[in-house]
Amino acid sequence: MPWENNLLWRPKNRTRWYTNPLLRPRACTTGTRNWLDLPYEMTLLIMTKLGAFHILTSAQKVCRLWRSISMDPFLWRTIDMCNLGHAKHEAYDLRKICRHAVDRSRGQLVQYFGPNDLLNYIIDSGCHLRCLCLVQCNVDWEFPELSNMAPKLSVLEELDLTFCRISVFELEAIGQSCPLLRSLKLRGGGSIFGGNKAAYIISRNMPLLRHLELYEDSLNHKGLFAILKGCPHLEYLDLQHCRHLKLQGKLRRKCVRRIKNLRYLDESTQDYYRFSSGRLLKSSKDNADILPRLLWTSYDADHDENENMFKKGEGEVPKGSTVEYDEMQDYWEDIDAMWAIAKSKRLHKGKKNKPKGFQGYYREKKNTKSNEKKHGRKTKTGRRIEHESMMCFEKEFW
Amino acid sequence: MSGISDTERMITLKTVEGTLFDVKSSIAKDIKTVQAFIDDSDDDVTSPIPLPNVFTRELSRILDYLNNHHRFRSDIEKADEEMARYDAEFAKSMSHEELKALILAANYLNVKDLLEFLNQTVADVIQNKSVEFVRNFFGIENDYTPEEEEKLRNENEWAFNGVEQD
Repeated sequence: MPWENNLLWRPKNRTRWYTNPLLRPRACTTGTRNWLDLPYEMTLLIMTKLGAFHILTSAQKVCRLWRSISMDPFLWRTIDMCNLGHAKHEAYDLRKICRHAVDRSRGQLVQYFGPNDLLNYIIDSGCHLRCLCLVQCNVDWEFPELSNMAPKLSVLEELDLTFCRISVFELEAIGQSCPLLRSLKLRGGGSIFGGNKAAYIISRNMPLLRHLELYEDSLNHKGLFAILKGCPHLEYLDLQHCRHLKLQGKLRRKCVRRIKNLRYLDESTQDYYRFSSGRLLKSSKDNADILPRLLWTSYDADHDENENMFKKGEGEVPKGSTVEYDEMQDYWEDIDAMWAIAKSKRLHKGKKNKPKGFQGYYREKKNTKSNEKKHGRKTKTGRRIEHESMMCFEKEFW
Repeated sequence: MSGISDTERMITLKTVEGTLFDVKSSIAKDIKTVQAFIDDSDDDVTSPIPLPNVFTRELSRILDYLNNHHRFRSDIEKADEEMARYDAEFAKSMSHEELKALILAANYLNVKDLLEFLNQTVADVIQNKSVEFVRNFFGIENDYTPEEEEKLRNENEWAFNGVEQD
């Protein structure tokens, strides 16, 4: 074909040229081992794989071209300073390196995995983080006031709080100020929150969640029900090492039906379950040793893993005992009421005048009490009033 | 378009040397450049698709890689282990020149997975290595003047712990 010849056209009077290395004759490619003629994007991609630390400490010193490439803000969209706790890196001040990397990103930083005390600096430098992974990077565990920063993280989509000590209020603040949150990893939260608190906060404030990991959380079936109800888009749920949770009966069926990828370790039998699209993938003791896997894997790796591993599934869902949870509706009403009251209490903490809803609530409650005493019978008004007051609070709050 | 005709159809690729390769269309889908060509010609490809920038050796390796990955993906039970093992062997079997040629070819053919993997391979090789090693590996000459190098070293001193104390 004539156009084919056209593409193969080469200047005859020059032996080397740099416009498109692909067009160069073969001899030239094999003769020298010069990688400088890789396309700019390819070098950029390789550097992206290298990571911030290695770019700053070695790659940028190689030559001028590489140094100019290392200034590209694209390279600094992701800063991953995890997994650098080796003795080899002790000579370096990771915090300074990280700060330098943040400077180079010129506000383009989107994914950040690293020490938590730099978060303030990042937010102040005008980055709109979309993916945030806070781990303790061979430092102490102190945590900045996340509730103050949360409003500035409004476009956050993925959050990984691995072994971070945050309070209930901070988690709630995150939930309320990050409406786009899609993925939450909350590992080791059981010892911090206790009970179903984390589950309730998640169910109330994070309706768009798709990926949720509650590793070592202390939730039980009530919490799980709340999550299932509050997060209708949930696709991935990791419930490993949740000691108080027994996944059986209706709850299990509901989980398996609703959630595409479910990971759960039965403490009593040490059986490891992995469900995918309503089918049980594997259930054996051998898989339990996956659990202490590296906790600080990046989200991408996890994501790919999910997509590739769970394409198809075989086998059947084992049927557990049939425990019914029909009273869940009651739980929900309780949760709602509790929630509303807690919210308004916090809102009106310092104020002298109690909100109308509160006053109404107390007055009516008094009345009902007296009524009960008078008539000697129980009324159902209590619940109704709770609901009214809750709606009142909700209105005020929003 | 029915699925059956999709799997049965073969697409012929032609390298610089004129070697012809027959590729299943399901695999050709991963090669974005070829796929774009097919899409442009309204799925009606009878003559071989010329690839004027790809040499036979690279193309055969790329197709090998894609075929194997395709096979692994169809069998989910051991997919991950086998894929990892295959990738490791694939990375080991390449010399530096081959690696570079493959990157260029994969870049031209726009095979995302392979490109990711190759870049990761390169990054793994030069990670934790000295600047000298990297220069040797890439065949790059040091084009910094001594003054510039000194300046760069000073610039990077902030990164070290306890330099000020010494």
